[in-house]
Amino acid sequence: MAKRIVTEHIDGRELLKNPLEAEYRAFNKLLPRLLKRYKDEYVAIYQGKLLGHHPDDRELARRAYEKVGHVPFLLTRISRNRHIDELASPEEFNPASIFATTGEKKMRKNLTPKARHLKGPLEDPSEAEFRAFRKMLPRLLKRYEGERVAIYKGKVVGHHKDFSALGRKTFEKLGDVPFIMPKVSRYWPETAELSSPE
Amino acid sequence: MWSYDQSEFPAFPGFDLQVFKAELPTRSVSARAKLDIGASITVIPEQFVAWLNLSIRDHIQTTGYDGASRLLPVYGIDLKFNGFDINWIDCVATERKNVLLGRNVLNLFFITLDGPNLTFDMKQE
Repeated sequence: MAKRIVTEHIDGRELLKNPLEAEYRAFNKLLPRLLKRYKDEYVAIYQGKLLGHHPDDRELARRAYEKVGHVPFLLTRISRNRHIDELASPEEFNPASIFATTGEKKMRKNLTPKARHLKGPLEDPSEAEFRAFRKMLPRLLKRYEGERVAIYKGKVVGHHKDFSALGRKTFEKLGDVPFIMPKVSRYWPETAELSSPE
Repeated sequence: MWSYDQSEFPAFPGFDLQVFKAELPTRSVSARAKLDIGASITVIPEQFVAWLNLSIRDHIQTTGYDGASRLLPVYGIDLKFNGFDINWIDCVATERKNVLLGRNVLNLFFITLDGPNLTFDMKQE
């Protein structure tokens, strides 16, 4: 294998921190000023700065996503009584669903380049490959039962019994594309045992 | 020969490693790893998936120690630790703070655990 030249490295502990920790700190600092100007409204905070304010939290979330794209930011109500803060994270809030339900097609045109990828169905590229795999499974079972098959663009591009060997071979052929390597089994997906109690 | 990590009780055999997307050496994340012969597949923290931009390669039905069952995506990663470079390891991601090295990695090694002295060794030949 080629020598590794790591250009971007991160300590896993940094990744495991709450991404909104800094935003909460900024929010607490800004709170006295926010109370004077935006009491009972919602505010969005991103990278320690006020991103916007609005009486409606969904409208504010939509505006904020237009500005910064699909990233976590803090969205909370300004009140003297501390509310339960609302976390607007990509996992919990899908701006595309708002566009779909409100039918505001114009909004799509106004998305920032960063947020533009949110248009249309948010499907993982592997999903189409798994649909193709399930369709082909009866046929694959006759030829490759017990092996793994590499599938890309709905076609079988390789097979091997070993995950590592098939991964290496397929990567060599196709490069970094979202090919899948499911195991051809009557019982797919197979079962695995996870961790012991900690 | 390495020492057990004594930051938890009981102490466990573990070390720091680097995780990469398979075949893509430019981006990595470091983490503490625990050897877990109770796990048939390696487990990484779910935050690593987005950082490393991992692609889904398969799905697997997992069962936890308590019998709880979940369908999870399988990703392909490379691991670097203690002078070893292990490529195209299948793994799943769950909400956790460290990496569990399951039997799909551990079975590539000769492993000696010396519990009384809190040391262990891993060799490939």
